[in-house]
Amino acid sequence: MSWIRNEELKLSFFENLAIKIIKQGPIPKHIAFIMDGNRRWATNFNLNKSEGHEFGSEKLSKILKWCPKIGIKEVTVYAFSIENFKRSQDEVNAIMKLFIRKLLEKEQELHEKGIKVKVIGNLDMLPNDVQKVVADAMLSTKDNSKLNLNIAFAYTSREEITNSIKTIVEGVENNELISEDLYNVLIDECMYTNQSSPVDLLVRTSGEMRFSDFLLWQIPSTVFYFTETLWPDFTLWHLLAAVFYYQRNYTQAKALKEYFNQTRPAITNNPRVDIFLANLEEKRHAKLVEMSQLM
Amino acid sequence: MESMILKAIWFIIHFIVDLIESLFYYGLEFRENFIYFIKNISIDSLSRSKKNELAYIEARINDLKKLPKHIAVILNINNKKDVDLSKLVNLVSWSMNSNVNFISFYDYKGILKNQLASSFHQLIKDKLTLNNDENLVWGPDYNLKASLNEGVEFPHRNGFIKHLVINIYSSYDSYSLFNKLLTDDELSSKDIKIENVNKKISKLYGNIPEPELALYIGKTTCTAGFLPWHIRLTEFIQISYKLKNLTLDKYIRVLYKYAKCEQRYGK
Repeated sequence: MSWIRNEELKLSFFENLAIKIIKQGPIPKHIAFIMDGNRRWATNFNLNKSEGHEFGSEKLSKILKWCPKIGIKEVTVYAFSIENFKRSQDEVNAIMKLFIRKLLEKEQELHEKGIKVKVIGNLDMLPNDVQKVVADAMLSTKDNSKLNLNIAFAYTSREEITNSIKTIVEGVENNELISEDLYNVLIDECMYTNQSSPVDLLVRTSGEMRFSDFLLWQIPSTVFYFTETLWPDFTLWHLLAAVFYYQRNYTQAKALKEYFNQTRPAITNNPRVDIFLANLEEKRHAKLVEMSQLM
Repeated sequence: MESMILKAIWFIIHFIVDLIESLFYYGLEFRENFIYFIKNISIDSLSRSKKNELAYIEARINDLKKLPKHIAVILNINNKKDVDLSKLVNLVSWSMNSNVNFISFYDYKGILKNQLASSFHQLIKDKLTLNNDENLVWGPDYNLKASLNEGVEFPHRNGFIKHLVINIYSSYDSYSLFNKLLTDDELSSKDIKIENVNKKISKLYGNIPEPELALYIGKTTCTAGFLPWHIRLTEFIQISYKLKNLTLDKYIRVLYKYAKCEQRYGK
């Protein structure tokens, strides 16, 4: 019951072969998952919902082992949306507890595997104990570089965009920015995901074909792969199928990416913006330090 | 040596899947065209008149539990030649007949918006005969010169049963419109909340509702940058592999697929 197990990942001959073959083509650097279907899966097996979530988080531990094997460098998962606070209090509490337990249990292993954890979302909405554990995990793994794991928790895309706009407007009010710096790409730079590479592939399980307020701003060139499989049933073969689908749509995704790189170029040669963004990172870091001292 | 073999296997697998996909695709297209052909000779030519199209659509969608109010159409086009405007006019007509209130066309390069909008306006005017109870309105235009709309715009009037607002977007509308939001003097950091931002954005986009359904043409499922603020609950469903093969039956099939989807709003 952990995200990262100590024992080495054992793969069958065919699994290894399939990985070797798929690596001959373009591999998505950054892959995002909407891990849908835990509760439906639990219902199918007459289990209660929290057990479904338990099995779901178990699956994430597998994903984190498979991805580096395939060559994927960054994984973003949608674990808990702000909308999910509307669920029953018992279920919300169970998810919070599960989340804390997983983060605490495996801090050591996260280090051994070189995983950098980042929780994206409105952390202020979380209870203090969760904030502290989240901040500790983020601070202690911040120098790891083998795999980036972003966990969207208390997250919606609209909240993220709103927060980013707010950050920029504050910048103007504090005279850090002037009106000619206000260019929509600045919104990207102030997102929770501002350190991430572009999302290449987004996988959604359990048959839904919508994004449910996840990364809406960041996915103009992302290939969307959906499968009927429920998240706890997701296997390495499903992951390989998703990567295969990405390869089949690679030309289109690449054209889109190039177009958006051209039409929305990153902000360069603007010292004001550079200083503003450096300050922002410092503030965010300071806030994490503050959270980690919460009791 | 090993890597060459692996590379070869990779190519072969992709090739086989390409082959299967094309066979499947052309098989389906052939079947569809064949059925269409039979229908055309078995029913008299009136079947394609406006009245019958309406009756046909109404009969088909009668059982559906829910229908989208706003449909987005995401085109995959690289130049003007890829666009068969008459197919888009058909889509407008079908939407009108299935009680859709908003239809938004999108291609990220803005080919439809910047190069073909006036021909599209004209073609709709020429081809689409509206019943007395039908009202077609063009959404606000951000880029185009006002003169382009002259004589084509349909005034908002009461007394219509069916309203359809047509919008054309490009990726400019998806991202660059946010520049206006950032430079809005009325915004102060204290009152920036999702609801307030949503109000501002609604205003910028002429109060269009969020599309419940996005039809995409082409093989890749992708937003292609379509209005990020508006798509949190939008279902993305492929309607046709190619624009030129877009048929009414494909449109109705998508409506069926959409109606089966159950919305859960996070609960």
